[in-house]
Amino acid sequence: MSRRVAIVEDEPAIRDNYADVLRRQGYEVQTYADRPSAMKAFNTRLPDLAILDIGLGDDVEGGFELCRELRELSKSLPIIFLTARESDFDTVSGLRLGADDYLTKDISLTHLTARIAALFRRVEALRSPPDNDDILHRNKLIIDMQRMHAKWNEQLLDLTLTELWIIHALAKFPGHVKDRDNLMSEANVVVDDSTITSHIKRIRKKFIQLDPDFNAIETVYGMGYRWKND
Amino acid sequence: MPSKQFMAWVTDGKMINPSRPTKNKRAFRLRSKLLVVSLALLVIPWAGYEYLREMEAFLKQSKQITLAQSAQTIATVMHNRRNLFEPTADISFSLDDQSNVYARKLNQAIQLDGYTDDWVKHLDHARQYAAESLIQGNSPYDPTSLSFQHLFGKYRKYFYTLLIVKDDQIVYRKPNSLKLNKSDHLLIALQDPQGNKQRYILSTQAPGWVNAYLLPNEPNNFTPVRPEVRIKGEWQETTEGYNLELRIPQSMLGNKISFTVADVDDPELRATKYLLSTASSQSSNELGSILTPSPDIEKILKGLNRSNSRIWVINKNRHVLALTGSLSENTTTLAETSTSLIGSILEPIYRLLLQQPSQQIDDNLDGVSRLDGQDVVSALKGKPAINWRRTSDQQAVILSASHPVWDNGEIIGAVVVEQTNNDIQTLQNNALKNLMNVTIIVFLAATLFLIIFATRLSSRIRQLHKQTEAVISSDGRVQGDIVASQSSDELGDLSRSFADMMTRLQEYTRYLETMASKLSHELRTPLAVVRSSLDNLELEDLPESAKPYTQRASQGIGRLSNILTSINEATRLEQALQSSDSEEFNLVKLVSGCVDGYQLAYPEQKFNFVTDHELISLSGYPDRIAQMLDKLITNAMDFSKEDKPIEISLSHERNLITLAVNNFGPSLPQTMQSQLFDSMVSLREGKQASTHLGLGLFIVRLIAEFHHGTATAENRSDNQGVVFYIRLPLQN
Repeated sequence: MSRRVAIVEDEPAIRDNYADVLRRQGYEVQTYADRPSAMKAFNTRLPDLAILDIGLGDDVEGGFELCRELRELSKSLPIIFLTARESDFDTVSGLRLGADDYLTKDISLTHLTARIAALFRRVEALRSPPDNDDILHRNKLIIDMQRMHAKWNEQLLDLTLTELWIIHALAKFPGHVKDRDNLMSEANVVVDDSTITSHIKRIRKKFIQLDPDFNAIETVYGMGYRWKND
Repeated sequence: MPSKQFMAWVTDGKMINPSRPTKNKRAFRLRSKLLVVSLALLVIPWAGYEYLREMEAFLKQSKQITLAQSAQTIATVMHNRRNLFEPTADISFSLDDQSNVYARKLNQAIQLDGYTDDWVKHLDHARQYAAESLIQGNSPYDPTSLSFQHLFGKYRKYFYTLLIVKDDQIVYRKPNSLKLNKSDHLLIALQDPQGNKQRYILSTQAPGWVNAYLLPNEPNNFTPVRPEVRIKGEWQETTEGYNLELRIPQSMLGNKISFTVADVDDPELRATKYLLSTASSQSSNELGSILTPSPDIEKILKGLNRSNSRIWVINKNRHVLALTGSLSENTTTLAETSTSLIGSILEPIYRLLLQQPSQQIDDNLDGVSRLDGQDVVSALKGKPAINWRRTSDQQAVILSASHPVWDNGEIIGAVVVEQTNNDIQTLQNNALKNLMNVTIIVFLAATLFLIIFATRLSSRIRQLHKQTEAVISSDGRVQGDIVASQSSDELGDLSRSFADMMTRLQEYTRYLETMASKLSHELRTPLAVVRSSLDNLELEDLPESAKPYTQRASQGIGRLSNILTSINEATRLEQALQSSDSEEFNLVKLVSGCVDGYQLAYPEQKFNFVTDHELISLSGYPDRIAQMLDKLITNAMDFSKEDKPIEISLSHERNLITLAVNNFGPSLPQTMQSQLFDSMVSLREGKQASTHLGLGLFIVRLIAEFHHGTATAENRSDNQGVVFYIRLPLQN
């Protein structure tokens, strides 16, 4: 059975383009132009993955609202925000509402499909027993790329895909400085430097929530970041 | 998307530097202008002075009237009392006036010593006898040969007379000679109280005590009958001739007398050369009337006497019959009563400026026997008159009013009342002083008030000026608000409209500033349409010849996307700075790390990092500082000559950290130096490989300013390149 992807997007051209490419990948795609029609369909049957725009026509915050309602319906449903809004404020808001990733619309379709695949893999992996090959151990950190999750001190980190890939890229070669371009390509995103900086900042915060003494991600000014393995 | 927003963006978000008004002392100007306006107050003393002059004229007028009335009153009292004016009924005043002798009222007995000391008060009024009094002469009259001055007076029971004779040749009587007229001599003709005419002669053998001799009643008989010891006196030689001082008892004298001085110059022939007589020019036997001040009139005048005035009564020959009062008695000092502080300060100035009424008046009139004023002449013609004249010493002005005295339609004399204008002047001076004092107080108060008012006004204007200056930064950005004034006047209105204007300007600036991000946001969606379409197209089965076009389209889209990202960078930076927390970090370590990184990233470019410090602890946003350094280095590398190093230096003086990035390369044009750090300003010429929107240095400025610092650019002193300075204050 093919996976079902729902796209909620008010711009028909984009909606159809995304739908086309995902169908090519073998997904079953439903498209919705606004919140009421989407919600009606979701109440009947949940998709396997939802791609939401934030502004839906006149409904400026429609995507956020939709995300909240979807999360109420399902804890585990992967949700991706794909939007033209790129302020930190919007990103943080979207992720707080439980979205798994927040992407801006200049992402290429290739990257988009890669993320969708990764998210499905995570969902898949949660159901199957762990495969040690894809597990990375770095001191207190355990990254399971199969299940797409990471643990610190045996506690699960609540990370988005982008964040997970960034941590993975850093922790794979401890002590090596990864500059922003490296991190961007590893995380399959095309964003500017400051977005990487804010990603790093968020990641640190998430670690610090679990462990106030966390300092494994080190800033090398002018170059980038590196993982410190004590 | 609305096209209006796009249009606004095209006009560029940068504001042109408004031309600043030069700071001159406008507050002082306003104040000094008001001070000049206050000079208009000087009209007050001028108006007051004019008023005082009016008042003076009025006072003079009323004084004239009063004086004329009092003259009339006094005259009225004497109307129809001819006896007052003619004490002896049988002698008419119509006789030749020249012959009359005026008997002065003496205040003391005269010592008969031949000196003039006793007569000092009267000397000025002594009557001069010369050519016109000549009654006999055997040669042409020569005034140096003989002339004399004559004074006649009365004290108690004696008449006194003084003759000051000028005689170039004094010839005395030969000893034992009985011819009394063969030397210089004096003939006295008088009418005794019984009405009989008597003649006396005086001559002497030597200066000294002399007696008169009675002569027979025949005109040319000079043989003395007997000595008359009651008429006696002193003959005293002087440098110019001799003085003769005589005393005649009242009992011997009626009311007519004449004195005749005979001059003998030739001691051999002893002929009488000249005869000068006080009486008519006919002969030495002629008599003149004795005019005495009338005690009756004086009695009347005493009753009418008023202070500060002098009253004369004259007969129709203008001889003074009575005089009472004095002009000099006026010593009531009104002037010295300035009590106010200002008055006492200014008193010396007033004394200098204002003409003070003199207390001592010398008008040379006190002793005269005749009055000659115009008003007197007019009054004796029957017309009351008023005359203003100055005293002979020019110290005061005297007003005299004359009124004729009538007797049955005939004028028998006149009354002259005199007063000085001292009281008017005193009054006027006092009024003037008071006026000046009040004016000065009013002027000072008004000026003070105006200064306070102007200061308040100009301080409010200055405040508004400062606020306006502060609200707009040097690059024309609106920062902060003007606190609108609450006052309801025009300045309050101005302040409010400024505040309103600033708010609107700020809104507009904000709109312009968010324009770029709004625009990029709006562009993202169509961009995504194009990009996703291209991606889909690439997945289609395209002919090989079509592939380059899709690739080029993808590249174009990529560049467009980059542009939008960098446009957004500044806006997102501002947002990010607002929301992030500052931390303490070592700036030296940060900069050196960055420089190492750049060296690693660009091995072909040489970087030098110079600093004397190992630790500069700064509280701020290390990521942003690094970002700022990135932009500076990117900028420096774009302009640097490849073989020359880029020099980064970090210094620390007191509370100021200076970060300098120094590169060799082309100089900055002078005009652009201040705009370099503005948004969308780029000095890059021609086409470059990558896109430059001129946002890099704008971000540098934003970060520097967010750390309360400044960003400036200068040409190197050797003009071989450019130095960018970031100055950050160390905060406690």
